[in-house]
Amino acid sequence: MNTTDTASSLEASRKPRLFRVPRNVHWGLLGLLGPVTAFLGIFFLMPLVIMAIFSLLEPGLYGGVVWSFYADNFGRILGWANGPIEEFDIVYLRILMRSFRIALITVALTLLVCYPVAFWVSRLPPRRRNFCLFLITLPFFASLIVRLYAWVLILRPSGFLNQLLSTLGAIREPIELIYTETAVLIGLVYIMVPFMFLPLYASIEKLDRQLIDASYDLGAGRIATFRRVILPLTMPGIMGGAILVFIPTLGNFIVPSLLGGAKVLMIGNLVEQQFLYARNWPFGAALAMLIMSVVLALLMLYVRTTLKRRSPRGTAAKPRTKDRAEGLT
Amino acid sequence: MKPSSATAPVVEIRRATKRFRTPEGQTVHALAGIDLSVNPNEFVTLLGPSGCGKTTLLRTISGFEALDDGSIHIQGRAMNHIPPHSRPVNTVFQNYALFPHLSVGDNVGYGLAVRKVPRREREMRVGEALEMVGMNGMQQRSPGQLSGGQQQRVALARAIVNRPALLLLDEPLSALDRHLRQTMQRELKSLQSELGIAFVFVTHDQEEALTMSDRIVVLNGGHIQQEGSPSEIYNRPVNTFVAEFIGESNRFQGMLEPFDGQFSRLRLEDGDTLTLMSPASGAADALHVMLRPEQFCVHKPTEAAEEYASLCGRLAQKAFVGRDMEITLETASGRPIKAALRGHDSRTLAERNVGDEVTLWYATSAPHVIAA
Ligand SMILES: Nc1ncnc2c1ncn2[C@@H]1O[C@H](COP(=O)(O)OP(=O)(O)OP(=O)(O)O)[C@@H](O)[C@H]1O
Ligand SMILES: [Mg+2]
Repeated sequence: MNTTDTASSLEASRKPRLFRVPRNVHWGLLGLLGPVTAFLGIFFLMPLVIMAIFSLLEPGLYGGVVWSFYADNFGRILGWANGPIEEFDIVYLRILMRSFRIALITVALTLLVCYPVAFWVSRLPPRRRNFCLFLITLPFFASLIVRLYAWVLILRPSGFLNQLLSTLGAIREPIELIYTETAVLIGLVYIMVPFMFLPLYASIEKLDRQLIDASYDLGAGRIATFRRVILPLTMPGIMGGAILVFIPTLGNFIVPSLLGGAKVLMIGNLVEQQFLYARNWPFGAALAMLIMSVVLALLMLYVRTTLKRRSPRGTAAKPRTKDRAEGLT
Repeated sequence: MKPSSATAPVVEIRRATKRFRTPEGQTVHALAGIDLSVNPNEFVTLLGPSGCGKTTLLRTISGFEALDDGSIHIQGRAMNHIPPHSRPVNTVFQNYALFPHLSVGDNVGYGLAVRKVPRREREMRVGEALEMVGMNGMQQRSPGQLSGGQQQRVALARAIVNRPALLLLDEPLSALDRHLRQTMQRELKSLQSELGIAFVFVTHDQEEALTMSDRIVVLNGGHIQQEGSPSEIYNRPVNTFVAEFIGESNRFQGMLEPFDGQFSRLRLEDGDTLTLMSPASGAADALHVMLRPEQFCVHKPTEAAEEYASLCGRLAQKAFVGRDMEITLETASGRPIKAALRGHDSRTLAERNVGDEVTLWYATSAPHVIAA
């Protein structure tokens, strides 16, 4: 009892100072955060605001915008005809759905590739583990375009893969690989693997091996242990990796344009086309806004569900000290 | 149940051998031919210095390590190819290994849920198990909200709820402070007799081993040094390792002089002699003899006084540790002798100073002859 009394009186005597100190900190904080905030405000938020405004303006006949409110950009995404030559067509929605599908499959495939590898790497002795981590990040050192052209060389009809397969006698005629959805998926999985691997590895490495032993010990087989212990405990890594892969994949336009040709368009290509070739900035902006809001909505959903799941069900710190005292008697 | 199962051992380990290859390329014999059986309702403690193979032995019983040689039978069934999750054995891990993403109730009910025990029965048994460790009503807590002692109790409940034939405990109390550890020792012991489950308990705290066990198995270097009841281990160690490892002891080595009709004397290398009541072996061999510090007294008892012999020396150290006065005596030849005295003896010594001449008496029946 005595100790708690002195502790609380100490705290009380310190209180006035606690009030004074933050005032000084406040200025320092402002000095530290101010420039960053201004920088982000100008170079990150402003373009977004401009795009948001553009998406609601009428496209000019020869590029540029006409400053009047115009909701048809979004209408056009949903399929309404734009101008006399078009008919109602959900082509954009279809591309959007395809982009989502491709992004989801990419997430699933990178997860499938990375999960076992991350497990394996986390069990290596430290030196080899670090070497493997270095290998995973190695692709970042080479240009993305160069790496994707390498895939063009591999996948095209006269490419390495077809030559290999025909020398082995597995195929007679070259199989059509490039400019298919498969090629796009291969490329996307290839560039996204590190983004999935690193968060996944971080959470798998943290996983206490003794918990797996405990699960076996309590009668759970391999599958039950994976489902009940390993998966839930590495879920933060899975979700982190999924988000890091899903978002850039959804907006990616380099891979589909190099490996998908004109056949496998994704939403990113559409945006690129609108801005660079069609010179229809408002429509491009509307597409970009749509992607962004969908992604944001999904993220918020995720954050809310995990927050709800993680909130402690019992009571917090106070009763704990009481129980500890009980345990001692 | 078969009538024999009441007396048949729960676990029977024969010539268990386990070798490890270290990264440096050496071979470690973690288990070098262990024979051990544990009877139903028995509290067996594995005691030994760090690295002697205690954890390895537990892990071969629970199935996490495969034996290189030998066999393990649990309830008469050969276990060599049975994976951990199919063995009727549960473990309490050293740092509890509670699942952080599950509530206390779900932690305790894990084994039952895995075995598809219906929800209502599960909840009932979880409640019972938590009740036994004094934690009922905390089902909704998460393990992170518990103190160390409480986590320990939950880990215990999680193991016993499955009604294993055998419970393995690997230094379950080592992370607790002294006071809580003593409380838990008592609770564990009473829980064990209440449940009637055989416990194999690992510790390197000899006091813990002595107070809790029905039987102690002393291990060193992958070998069993001695097994027996706590008093056997303490009073009649079979070799010098056990004598040194368990409790404090004074060890003497010397040549036995011929029996003179009443006593025989052990002539020590440095000239001192120790008087023994007729030792079992009459051979004039080199002998090891052990005397515990508490077997000395300062005041020679008046009864059967002729059966006492003495050692003299200078008081080199003394420390009052509560119940005992612990002293070190230095004999004329410089040999240190540890003694723990209490009561009247302790009070007498309190008046002596370091450097004073002191005579310590011991019963000639007290020195324990160690075989090797
Ligand atoms: N996986 C392993 N690889 C290599 N050597 C091992 C392995 N596990 C244990 N050993 C070695 O086997 C020997 C016995 O280890 P064990 O863990 O059984 O000791 P212990 O008696 O439990 O010790 P402690 O009291 O420190 O826990 C030690 O020499 C240890 O280094
Ligand atoms: Mg150990």
